[in-house]
Amino acid sequence: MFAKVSSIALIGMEARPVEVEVALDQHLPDFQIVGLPSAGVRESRQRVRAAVVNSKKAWPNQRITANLAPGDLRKEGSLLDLPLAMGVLAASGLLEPEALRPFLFLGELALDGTLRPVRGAIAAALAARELGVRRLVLPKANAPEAALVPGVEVSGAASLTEALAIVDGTVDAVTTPPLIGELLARAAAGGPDLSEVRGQALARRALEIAAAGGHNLLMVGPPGSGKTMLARRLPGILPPLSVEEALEVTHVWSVAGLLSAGESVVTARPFRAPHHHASAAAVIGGGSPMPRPGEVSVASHGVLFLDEVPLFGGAVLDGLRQPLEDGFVTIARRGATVRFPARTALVAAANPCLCGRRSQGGQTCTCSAGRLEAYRGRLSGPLLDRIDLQVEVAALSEEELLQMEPSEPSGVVRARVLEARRAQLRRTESLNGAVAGTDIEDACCLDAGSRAFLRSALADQYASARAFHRLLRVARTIADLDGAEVVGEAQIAEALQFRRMVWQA
Amino acid sequence: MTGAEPQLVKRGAAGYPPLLAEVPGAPAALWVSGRTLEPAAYVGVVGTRRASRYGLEVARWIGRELAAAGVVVVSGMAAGIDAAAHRGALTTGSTVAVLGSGVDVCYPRSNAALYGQIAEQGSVVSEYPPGTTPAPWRFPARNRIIAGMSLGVVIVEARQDGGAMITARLALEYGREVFAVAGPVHASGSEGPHALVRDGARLVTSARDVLEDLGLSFPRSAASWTQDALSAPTPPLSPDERRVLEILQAEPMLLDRIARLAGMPASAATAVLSRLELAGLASRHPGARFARTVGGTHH
Repeated sequence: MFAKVSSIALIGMEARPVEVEVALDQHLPDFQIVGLPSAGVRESRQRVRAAVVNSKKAWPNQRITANLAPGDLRKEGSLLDLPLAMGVLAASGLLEPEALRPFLFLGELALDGTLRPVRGAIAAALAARELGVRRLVLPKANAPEAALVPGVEVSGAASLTEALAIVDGTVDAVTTPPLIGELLARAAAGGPDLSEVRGQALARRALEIAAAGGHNLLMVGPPGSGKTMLARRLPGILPPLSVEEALEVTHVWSVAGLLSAGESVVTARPFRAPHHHASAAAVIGGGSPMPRPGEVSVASHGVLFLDEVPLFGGAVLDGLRQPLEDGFVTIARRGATVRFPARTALVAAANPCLCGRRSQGGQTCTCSAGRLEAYRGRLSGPLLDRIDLQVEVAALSEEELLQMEPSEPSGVVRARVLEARRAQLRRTESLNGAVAGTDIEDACCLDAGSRAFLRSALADQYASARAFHRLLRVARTIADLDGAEVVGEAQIAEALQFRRMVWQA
Repeated sequence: MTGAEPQLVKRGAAGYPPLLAEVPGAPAALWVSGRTLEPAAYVGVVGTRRASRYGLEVARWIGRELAAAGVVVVSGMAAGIDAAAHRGALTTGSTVAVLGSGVDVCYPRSNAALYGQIAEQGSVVSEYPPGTTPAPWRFPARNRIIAGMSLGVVIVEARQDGGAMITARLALEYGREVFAVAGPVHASGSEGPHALVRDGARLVTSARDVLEDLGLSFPRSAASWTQDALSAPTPPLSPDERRVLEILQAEPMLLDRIARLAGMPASAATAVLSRLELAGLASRHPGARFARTVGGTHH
């Protein structure tokens, strides 16, 4: 009257093995779960019983004790429904307990016995491979993503009945792994195009530099000037996702529960635009008891767009600093410390002032000096330090708009970006935006003339070492876009236009 | 704050502006930090805190030109026009900041760097003892010192109900010259000066107009903005720089347009504009636009 089923618990990005042990004994009918289940897991009991009964299987009229081992790991979520049901059925003799050994189960049960998708299927497949478990049974909607992991036979089941049939061998439902390269190739291009943006030469160039060097970007401009429009076009000028990048993005999305049913892999670079009311947990990651990835992680290998950035909470802006610097988020909880990837390009946008009328022709700003200072002061210095590029987005008058000629399409810009990225990776194995202070000086190979020019340019700016390195990083990327080995005066001069000066209006 | 302790100068003593002593209700004593107030031609340049780019440029230009002619520019070190006038004057001569707080209290804090520079190169004056915090009612009171110690007052941009208008009214009361700089009709900052002109103030378009009216000498002052722009000494320029400079106008324009007119890619035009900015020949304006500057007014 005992059965053991393998499953997992999701801890951040990883799945840890969990053994579901079920024992039946002669006693008043009861169903208890022990082994540090959270309140959510305890609710499984009702779902499991209803699902078993509605799948036309007999519910044992005995005392059922389920133990989730290891006992010191807190278990959360609904993915233990399916292993619990399998354990109960095996313990009651409906299944041969031995037959369950090659399998790892996860999935949430509906009361009618169908299986609902869960978060973290990729993590489960990775864990199964590590444990040496050959076969993974999970909800059908999760099968394509889990099938990305080679070395594990993934079977998607639509219901508890189907899961039982898979164990019996009466149904062969092995999902074929998706051809990720083909999917990525098909997804390339598409999305909004840069040629739809009229004028804005300065901002478009800033976008190109941001894409080429992996720099974070701040755009300042009045409402309606096209900040969001520009930001949405950044993914389109980035190189297509590589296979490794796509796997990492898909893994995060899987953990965050963002993959749509049946979606195997995220093929387009993410573009995430959380609202400024979003909490720190939503943007950075967090939650209790087990932290979930925030927008900064969901936007991995893509773009995190923060519109109205000064209106975001202080905790959000301060919390963004570390992930932007390190490329990952670390969240510590009593039970475990988890790490989510966060290699994203930040694009922040702000109005020049609270009333939004500043820098619009013929209109006068009604913000008081104090309110203006407070508004701008909300962008913390340390966060601004992580933003290499700042650019003003102009509101064009109708007359100016009509004068504008059609601009370059995204494809042309992307070709330059690709070339520039290649040059950077040949030189430093990382993009300029991620190159540390002193290393960027070496990478720039400044000659005496350029050094003198830099000194004179920065003389009246009270430039800190940080500001100096930000400027060099941008100049290095411009040189890479120009195909230049050495950073010269022309590149430094252009980079000067993207310094922290947009607030001084 | 400043090396030296603030000095208390009694009315009638040396270092108390003689013109101010004549004014009814003049403070019995002034706290002065920085340089002592030598006998000189003092001229006030005041205006709104919410200045336009135009106002800031003109205030700076007039401040610079007045100071170059040996005039000491007096203002209130408020944000906007006042600060611009002080900054302009500091590039070529001296200036006096009259505060509504103690001379050791910098208000607004955003002017901390300017405050330090004035205390070094000019004088900071207040009728309130050191340590006095700013209060709204102290600012109109300090305006009578600005008007009282000056030969005349230049109003660059002011709203009808602004503090600068109080200074102008007081200057009239004390029999001083009032000068007004005209501005665009649709801007609220032009209301004040335009009303003053209607009431008989002198319309001025350059520091030279002011100097002329006050009977002061104007050895090198430009007669007008446009003339100044042309006569500005130009450093040697590359052909690209000259091409872009020729396209630039006083009216700010977008990079897209500049690049197209110059026939160069936007990135190259951006680099050239940076160089022109560094040379003080071009300036960037709100709205990502660029304009030609009057020789060296920016910096």
